Amino acid sequence: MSELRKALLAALLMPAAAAPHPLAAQRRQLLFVENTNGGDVSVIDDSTLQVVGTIRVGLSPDDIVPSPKGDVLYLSRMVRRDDGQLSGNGELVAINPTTRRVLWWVPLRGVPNHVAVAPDGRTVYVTIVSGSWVTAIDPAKRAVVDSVEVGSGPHDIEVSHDGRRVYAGLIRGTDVTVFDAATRGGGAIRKIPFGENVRPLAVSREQDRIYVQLSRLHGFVVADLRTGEVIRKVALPVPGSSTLPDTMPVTANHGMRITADGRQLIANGSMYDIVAIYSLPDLQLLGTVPVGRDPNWVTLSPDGRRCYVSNRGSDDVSVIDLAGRKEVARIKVGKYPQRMAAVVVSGK
Amino acid sequence: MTTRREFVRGAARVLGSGGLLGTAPPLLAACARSPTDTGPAPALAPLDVGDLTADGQWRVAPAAGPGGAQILVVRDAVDRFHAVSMRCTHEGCPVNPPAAGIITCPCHGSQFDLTGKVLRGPAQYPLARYQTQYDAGRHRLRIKGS
Repeated sequence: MSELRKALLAALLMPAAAAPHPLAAQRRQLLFVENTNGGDVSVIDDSTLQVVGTIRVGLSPDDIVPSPKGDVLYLSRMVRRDDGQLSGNGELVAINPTTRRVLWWVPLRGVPNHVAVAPDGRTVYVTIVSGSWVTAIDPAKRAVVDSVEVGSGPHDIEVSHDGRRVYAGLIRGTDVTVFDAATRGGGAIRKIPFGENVRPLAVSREQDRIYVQLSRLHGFVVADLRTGEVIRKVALPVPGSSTLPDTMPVTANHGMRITADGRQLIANGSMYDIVAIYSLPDLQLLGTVPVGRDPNWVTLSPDGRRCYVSNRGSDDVSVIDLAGRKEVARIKVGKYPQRMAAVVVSGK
Repeated sequence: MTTRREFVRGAARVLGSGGLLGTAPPLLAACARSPTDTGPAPALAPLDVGDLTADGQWRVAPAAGPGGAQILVVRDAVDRFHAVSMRCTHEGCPVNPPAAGIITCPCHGSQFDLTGKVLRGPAQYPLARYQTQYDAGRHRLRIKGS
């Protein structure tokens, strides 16, 4: 072997043979983005703002949510046949965010949409949009343990911070259905009417307010959870010289999140490719941030400094610095990115 | 409750999609060759379509098709019928019956024509179609699996 070849070979081998980098064991914030039409999950490292991996899961993942400890990602998926037709069923897939391997999965009856996890991590709830129920899964048993009738077409879902109540919005109905987590609907089921199909929702930590996006609305409504009445309707700004169309699209706005300190609400204006940030509880518009096309979801970074917005129309993710209220990166991901989960992992 | 058959189907699909490659035990690989619901479905009972007397008229079949979705039957011509699944191919919501010749999904607004073809997204795939066989003498329509 020539000296040149030896040198080249040594150079090639060096990175693999070298001692671990001192920063290799540091804790890193990772963002997992499900790409619905690509059938995979893009992994973004928040420190480098680069895609560092891809996890194949099969066509039509719909939601991805971390366990409270961040050690498991739960992904719902609509099962499709080879010709693209829905089988009418789905599955919940558990993924290890550190190894990025599938841990286990549970088949689901009906087509699943959104996922929420109880704060104690002992129950995973999945809405079945093709039906009228929420499926409860016990991750310890890796099995479906219950289903709760909530009304036609349950879509987004959230568990209260104290873990006592579950809020499910109906996309084929016009209510948010609230049920008791302990009895799983064995107790009273409460309905909060909104008069239009219910899209993403966000419940305040104290459970005094619920913020709800609705079909055909460029904005959101606020309901008082004590009285069950809508107390305010907030119109999102319309940028520049644009005006609202006469016929509103079904999905006007999609994606909303309350910051961990409860002081800001981040709402996507999907029609106009913007994110609007409001103060809470007084709902003053603090600013808008232009993002990619058709923003669909908002996820907060674990350290609370940033939020990520998936732009399913341009196949990228906008990273927004919350203090500066500006986009600091736009990262290309897979096809039709929708929901995201952010966790902290240890290791390289 | 999940039946064993449903579980095997799920396993087969995840394996088929590559989702579990490298982690699945050999036993599950064998299950991947088990029957799935992509095969021909049993024929439904013949449907009396004597009440569909003009082109473009439709009705919802009284019995659901394979997988539990309702079937929309549309008369397209004197002796031609379409039978399409009423499950939206986007996220599985039941679509509305036709209005002015257009089938709309109430969930996300996807639209289809009376043959199931996508007119507007977000749906990417046409509504599932069923084969039909019309007995003109008895006004009976036989709907077969997709």
